[in-house]
Amino acid sequence: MPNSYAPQLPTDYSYLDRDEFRAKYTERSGTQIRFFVGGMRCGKCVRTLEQIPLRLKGVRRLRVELSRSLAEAEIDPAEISFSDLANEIARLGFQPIPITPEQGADALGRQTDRRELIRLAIAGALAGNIMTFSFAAYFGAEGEWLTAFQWLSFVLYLPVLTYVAWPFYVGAWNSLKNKQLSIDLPMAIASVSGFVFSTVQLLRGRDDIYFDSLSGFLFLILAARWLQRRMQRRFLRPELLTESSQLGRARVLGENGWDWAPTESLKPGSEIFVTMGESLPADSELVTESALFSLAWLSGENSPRIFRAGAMVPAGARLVAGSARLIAKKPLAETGFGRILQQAQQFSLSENRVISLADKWAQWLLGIVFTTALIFLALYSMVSVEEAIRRSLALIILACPCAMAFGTPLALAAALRKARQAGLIVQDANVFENTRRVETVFFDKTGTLTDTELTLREDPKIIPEDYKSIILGLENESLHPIAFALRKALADENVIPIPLRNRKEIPGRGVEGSIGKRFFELKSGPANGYSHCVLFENGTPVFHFTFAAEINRDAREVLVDLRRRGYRVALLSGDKQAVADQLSKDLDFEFDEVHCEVTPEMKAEIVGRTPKAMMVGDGVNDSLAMMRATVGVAVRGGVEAALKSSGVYLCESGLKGITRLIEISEGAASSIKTNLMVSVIYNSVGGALALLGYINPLVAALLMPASSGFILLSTWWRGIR
Amino acid sequence: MNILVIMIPLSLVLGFLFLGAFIWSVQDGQLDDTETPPHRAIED
Amino acid sequence: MGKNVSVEEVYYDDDIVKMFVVATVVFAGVAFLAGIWAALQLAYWPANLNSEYLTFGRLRPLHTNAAIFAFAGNAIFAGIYYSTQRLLKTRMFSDFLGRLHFWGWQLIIVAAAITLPLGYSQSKEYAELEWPIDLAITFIWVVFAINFFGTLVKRREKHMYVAIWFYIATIITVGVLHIVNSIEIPVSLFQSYPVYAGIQDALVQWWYGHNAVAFVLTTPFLGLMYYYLPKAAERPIYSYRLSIIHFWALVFIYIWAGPHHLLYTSLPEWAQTLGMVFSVMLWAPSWGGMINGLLTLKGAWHLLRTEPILKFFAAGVTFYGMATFEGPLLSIKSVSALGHYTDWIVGHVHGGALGWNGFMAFGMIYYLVPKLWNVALYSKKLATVHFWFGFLGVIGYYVSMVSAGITQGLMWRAIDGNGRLVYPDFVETVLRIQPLYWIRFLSGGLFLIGFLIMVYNLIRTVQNAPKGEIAKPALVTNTRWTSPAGKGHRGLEGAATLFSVLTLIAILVGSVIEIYPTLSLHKYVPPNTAVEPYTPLELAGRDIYVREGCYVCHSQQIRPLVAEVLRYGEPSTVAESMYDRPFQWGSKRTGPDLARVGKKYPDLWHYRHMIDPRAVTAQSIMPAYPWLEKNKVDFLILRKKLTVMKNLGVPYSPEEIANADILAEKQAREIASNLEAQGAPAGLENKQIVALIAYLQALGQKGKE
Repeated sequence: MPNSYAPQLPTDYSYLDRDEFRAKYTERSGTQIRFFVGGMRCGKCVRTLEQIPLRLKGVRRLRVELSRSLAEAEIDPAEISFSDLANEIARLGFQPIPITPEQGADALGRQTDRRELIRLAIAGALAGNIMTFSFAAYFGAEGEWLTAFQWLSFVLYLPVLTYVAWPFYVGAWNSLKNKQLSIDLPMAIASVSGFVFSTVQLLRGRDDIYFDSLSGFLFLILAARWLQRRMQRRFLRPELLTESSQLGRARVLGENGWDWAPTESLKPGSEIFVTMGESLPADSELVTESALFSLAWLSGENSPRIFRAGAMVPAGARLVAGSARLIAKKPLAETGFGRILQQAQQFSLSENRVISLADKWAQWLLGIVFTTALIFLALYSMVSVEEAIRRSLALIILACPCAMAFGTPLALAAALRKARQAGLIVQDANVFENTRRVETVFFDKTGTLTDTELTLREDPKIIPEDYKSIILGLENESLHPIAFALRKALADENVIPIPLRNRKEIPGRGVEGSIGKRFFELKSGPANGYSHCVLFENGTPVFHFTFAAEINRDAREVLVDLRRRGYRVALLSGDKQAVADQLSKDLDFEFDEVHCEVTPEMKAEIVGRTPKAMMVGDGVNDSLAMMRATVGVAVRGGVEAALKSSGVYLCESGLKGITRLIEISEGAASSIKTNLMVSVIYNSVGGALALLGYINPLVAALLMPASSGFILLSTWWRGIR
Repeated sequence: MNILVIMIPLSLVLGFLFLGAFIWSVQDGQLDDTETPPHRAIED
Repeated sequence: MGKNVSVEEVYYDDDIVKMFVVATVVFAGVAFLAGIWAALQLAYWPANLNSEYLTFGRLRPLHTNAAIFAFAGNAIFAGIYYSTQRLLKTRMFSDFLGRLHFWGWQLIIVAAAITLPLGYSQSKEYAELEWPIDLAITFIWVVFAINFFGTLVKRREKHMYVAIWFYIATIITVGVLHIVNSIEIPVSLFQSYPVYAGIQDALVQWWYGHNAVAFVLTTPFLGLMYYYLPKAAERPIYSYRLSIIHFWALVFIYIWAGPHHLLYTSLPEWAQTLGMVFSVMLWAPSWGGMINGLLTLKGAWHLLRTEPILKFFAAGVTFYGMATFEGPLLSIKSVSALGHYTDWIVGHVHGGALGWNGFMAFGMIYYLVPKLWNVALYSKKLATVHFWFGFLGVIGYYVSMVSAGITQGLMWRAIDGNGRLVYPDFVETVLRIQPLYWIRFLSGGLFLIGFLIMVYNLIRTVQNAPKGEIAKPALVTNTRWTSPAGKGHRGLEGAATLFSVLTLIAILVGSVIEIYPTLSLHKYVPPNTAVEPYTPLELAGRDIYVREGCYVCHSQQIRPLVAEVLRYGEPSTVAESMYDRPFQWGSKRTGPDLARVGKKYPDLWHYRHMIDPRAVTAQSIMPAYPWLEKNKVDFLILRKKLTVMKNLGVPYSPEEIANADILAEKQAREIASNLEAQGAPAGLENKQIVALIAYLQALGQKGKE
């Protein structure tokens, strides 16, 4: 199939007007739609977008939500189409990506949010009022007032007992069903038994009534949970959502020529068409003679790869230039990339692990507390039943394992959030713990310490004008890295390439061609640490060019910093020793270890036999090594590789992320350590005092929120620093 | 002193009234998006 | 492109805003003038021109009412009417109600300005106005509420910006407060007795008084801050989430903080402590708000140099922070022991009123006038000059009054080694701080000059305004539509149920607390203390005391502190004031406490003191009350007064009521002849001075075993 093939293509957003898409993306009999709007940052954007209805007839209204980069619009389909609206948004400089109602609304999450916020508010209001009445009692209210206040507290505690504490009962019940101890269990027990005990005491006319402490403590725990939920939210970048949305459609050749179709409707054998910048919605076979695809999303390989007609191109590969025709073979949902996207969308990657990690520790403490309380209750009942109940209740309330149950997740969630701000996608919270153990850091050379692309080291100005045109003429269509480098260097010079006669590219050697009688060759020269090539005119060398892969701009800074922190720093490279030496010289940094001419398998070998190693690498080449390492860090690599090798993915270019990762890990660890220490001291001292009768449930309920409050605040404070 | 008999319930009723208002505002979605409104407020 | 059906043209009602802005400026002038005049009278008492209508006791309520309800009130309305329409993208609910609100409110202010100097006053701070005006206030407030909530209902913007919430809280709470505190039984067209007596009245009054400060001078101004500060700075509020937390925390805590005004009184200890705790808790949300306001200017600090509006806002918010730090501080018992009844409180209040309310209002006016009249401000430079005059004025006022307060407070409590007061003569402590009263007067002058500069600036601005311009509509779309998520409304039923449950709880709680202690109403007065009610003449005298606003300078509440007991006598008890309607505990001691002044001096001393205070205390700064010697007592109305009192539960016998005038005349004759015997002129038996002396001599004599 000739390259000049120019099909009649549908306009950019026209697919939105087709029934299948309307059914998928719109609501309310096809009048409302939601877009994820890329590039929306500030108030100005809000204004620009929300004023669309004033300019565009038929757009009834439009409303944006900055926090989630969403725009919600209603149109009059008789007057305007969704594609017109999308085009207008795009014209204003944003990237509108339609999303399905399920994707955009995350209705379930929002409903839960609202429900829990209301529960929290009611808990707070009730606890506040109950506290007010008990304060009055502590400050000396007596007689009728005291009795009235106590009964008031009782009345106000009823909704606490039933409504506010409900999630704890559910959690406790579930944990009992699963034969596990969970943090919900002591809450449920405290809520109910405290209520029964206090009511009995109220009826007997006693003073030790704990409605205030119980409601206060349930409120604080709800508050902590709510905070935690918020912090763990959305720490994956929205890029994945974008990507998946773009992959929601494809140009398919139908009876009426090319038109958009939803990706789900793609069948093996459908003929599809992609243009520059688009990703493949299916594993497909290339029809076009040759095409340049970037596999960055998949493997992290930055330099595009040439595919020839008949080759299989994986879903998720992005067309770098021109356009291409393909035949779909395997639908997106069945491809590896499709599965990753699905996983990422569920946002379930980290949350569960954080909680389970903390729960494991909490369970231990709970086990100990419950056993102690039961034994004590049994034994002390022989002395005094009332006192036995009071003291064991105090123990249960006091020994709430909040440091672990909330402090740890909070610290880790804060670390995750910070990581995200620093442009790190961290697969799970274990990474922070593992990072702390690392002693040796291995760096891959190409693509990690250096760029994958080559750069001309000489100033292009010294080349005479006519030679520039000739060089460009020679290299104009080549896909060799050196050709890229030369084209890049001459891009600013306004050079017009001269077409050459008999231009030929000889793989492994270079390019040649002639103008009139002048015969030119551009061949690689001898290597001496740099890539080197020579321009020959009629067999005589005219110019020498040297090329280097540009060193990552903060590589040196990061390496020096790592050494200062006491890490061993090692280099792994597929290149020759000379190249590695040159790099060392350019970086002005002596590596502790240098391994040259190593294959990916050898890299994995080396990393694998080094205990406590961090592997910093790039994409598919290093994924083996990263998997064997304690922590694998993918630099500018593919998400897939990063997620698979249980590691970290640096979204921002540069290596600074590594130092940030170490700092964040240390911060989280020290935060957790402090929490644990406080918790252990508090629980053992407080527990002993409770059992000895020095702490009644009231004091316990004041101490518990105080200790939790301290832990939450200190964690939060460390978290925002 | 019996004036407290009126004032405490009054404060409670006011308090619960505001709690009701808060619940309404959450249910109505008033607090779903807390990032855009301040930007919108400074536009006429 | 064609016109869009869903895009609507909205004409905002800016005329009403203009009206309120003008009223704000006019009444600011009145309030400041009254204030500075009152300040001058404290430094130089003859400044009352010897007119009964201009004495400090009548001028001071005029000043506070003008400042709070006329100046701040109109500023709030102007700000609310302007911002609500724009935030909700709709014209106000009703133009008619808006105008009714405006003219009604101005009428109330005029009525206040007439009745207060005439002495028609309930003598409850910030609630002095008599019952017909109270009714009018209620009516106009309801008009305002209907107009505002109607606007909420027809709004085109789904989200209600946080400022709107502050307005809502203001309207609801002020309504409730006003109604509860104003329950009173009329005696005549311009006199009434509150249904609450003594400590009850005190508690209701300070619950009102505190929350009036909260919901007239704080929440609405915070709402204005959240709208106008970002507007003027052209950047969104620093943290919207914080502003929401600020609002809800403030609303829930404020309601409970009232009792801190009654520390060391005969209010039960636990209620005092509770009030103190809540007041201290208020510090957190208040500073949250201040920080939020100031940080909004982050990255725009340089604008403070050039933009007078932002200068006013930034300084205003800072003064808010200062006042809300000082407030909780003053509500701590040990600090209150020193600061209460002194000029420290006056300084505190003016730091807030001039610095926060004044500056926020000025900033808003400078912002609004050019927008409303569609013209540039005449002179930014003059506005900056205004700012510096105002700023120096506030600082001067604050520093002088805090120093005066602390100085006097320390002098009052100073006790020498022998356990005697170092300054037993009250007037000594007054003379010590008198120079500071002059500084206060001059500082007020600076503030006033600044204000006049603003008036000039605004007049020139409005003169430059283009004539005959037609208002341009705003183009808006209605954003209240069901979102594609669609599921949002399923929860509504749940909310309704929940709401019903909560209301039920509230009612339940209310009933429990209401029924229970009512069964034992009078248990708080020890049974062995039989408190006699005031005699008819004493009651007549008390009404004169109330009319003349004696409470603005004299307290009637001796705190259980050593120095006070030494100076004034035994601490006040609940029983003593159980028939006081209204209570006259007072909040400021420019002169000494009067709770136990009865029988301390002979009648003649009181007579000479009232006619010319300097005749008995050479350096007294109290005004003279010569008209008490000329004006007659209305004996006839006493029967009606006693009837009302009886209905409110004061144990007058039917004979006493039937013969009230006769009994009073009899007692008056005794006092008059006694005075005459001591050398006073004859013919005083039907004059007001006699009634007042009867009341003063009864102070501290009731409830004695």
